[in-house]
Amino acid sequence: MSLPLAFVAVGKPSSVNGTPAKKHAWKAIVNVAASAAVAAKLPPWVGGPYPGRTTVKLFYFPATLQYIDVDNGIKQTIDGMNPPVLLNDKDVIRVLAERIRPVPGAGVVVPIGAAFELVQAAQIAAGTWAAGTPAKHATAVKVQKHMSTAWSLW
Amino acid sequence: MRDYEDLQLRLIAREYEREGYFVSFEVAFNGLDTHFDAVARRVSDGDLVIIELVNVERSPESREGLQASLAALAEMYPRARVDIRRVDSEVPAWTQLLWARQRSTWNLRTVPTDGGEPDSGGFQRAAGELLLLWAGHASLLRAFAASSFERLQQPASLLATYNSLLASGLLQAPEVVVDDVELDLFQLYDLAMAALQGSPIEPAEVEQLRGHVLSVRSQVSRVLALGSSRGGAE
Repeated sequence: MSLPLAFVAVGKPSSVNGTPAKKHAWKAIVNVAASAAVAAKLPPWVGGPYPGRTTVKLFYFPATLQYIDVDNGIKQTIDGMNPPVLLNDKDVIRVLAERIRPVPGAGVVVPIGAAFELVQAAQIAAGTWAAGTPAKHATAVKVQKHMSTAWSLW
Repeated sequence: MRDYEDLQLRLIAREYEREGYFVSFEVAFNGLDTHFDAVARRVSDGDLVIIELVNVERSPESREGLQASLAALAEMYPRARVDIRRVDSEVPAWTQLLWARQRSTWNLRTVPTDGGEPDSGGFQRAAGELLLLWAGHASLLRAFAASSFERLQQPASLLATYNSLLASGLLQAPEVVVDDVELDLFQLYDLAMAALQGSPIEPAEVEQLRGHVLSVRSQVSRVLALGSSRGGAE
């Protein structure tokens, strides 16, 4: 598999300080969402875990203004994708994570090809994705083959 | 309500107009199901930005065609971008919660007791208990913050004070470290404000706050004990 894969995990990412039950619960949420994305978005001849060097991007949309570390849940999120998206979490060599707080004016501008999951996550966090559904924390996850950016991120 | 959203959309549009874009509202592209809140186009370089509002006061529309519409637009305008923008809410979250509960309380939220009579009193009692717990919890948090931070900056809201305690590592969020606690303090604040206005509260929600109170009390005791033992050693 070399195509980028994106999906949204709904729920509160567990913290490194979280209880084992909460960590397992979050990993299970990620695993279900990742498995569904592999099945729905990748053709069978492409699907399967990512071999080799991989980049993981996480955009976290909290539903409330409560303080939370942006690194919360990164480890459990990656573990939750191993499998079905990752062959080995040691292959992840770059992680980008950002938290978009639910404040007026906050937002992201993204290329249209990458927009759907971010729109979905933002609307879920606001409680406006589906009728009668309360606001919930949502994390947009994107996994792609790692490409060198010649240190431009630094 | 819609006027308020329109006002904010126009303010966002003005940001783009200042950069040379022409902004259209409620845009439908030929052959696509989805209407977009606004589209900004700039003739000089052909740049196109879809503006998608995230507004907690707006009833969700059908999202069924959104993914297909974005995919189709990506083929037509591969360099286009999407600006996902949160807009302000005119009404506080707790008021929306109160309205939602007032609409549903007497029809749906009053569960019959064994005798067949609706037990609306149970929700009212829970509201009273929640407010009592909230008052004590708020005092504990403020006192802990006052004793922990040498110079408390200006009068801060309780929630801002709580966030400072979390950010400084003095407290850990109970919904992180206690298995049965799921709601965070901001969600419980909305419940407390709604209860103050007469909204009924579910007993399970009181248990969530009780979980916060017990966890924070225990954490505060531990921090204070640690502080006094360190002080004694010096």
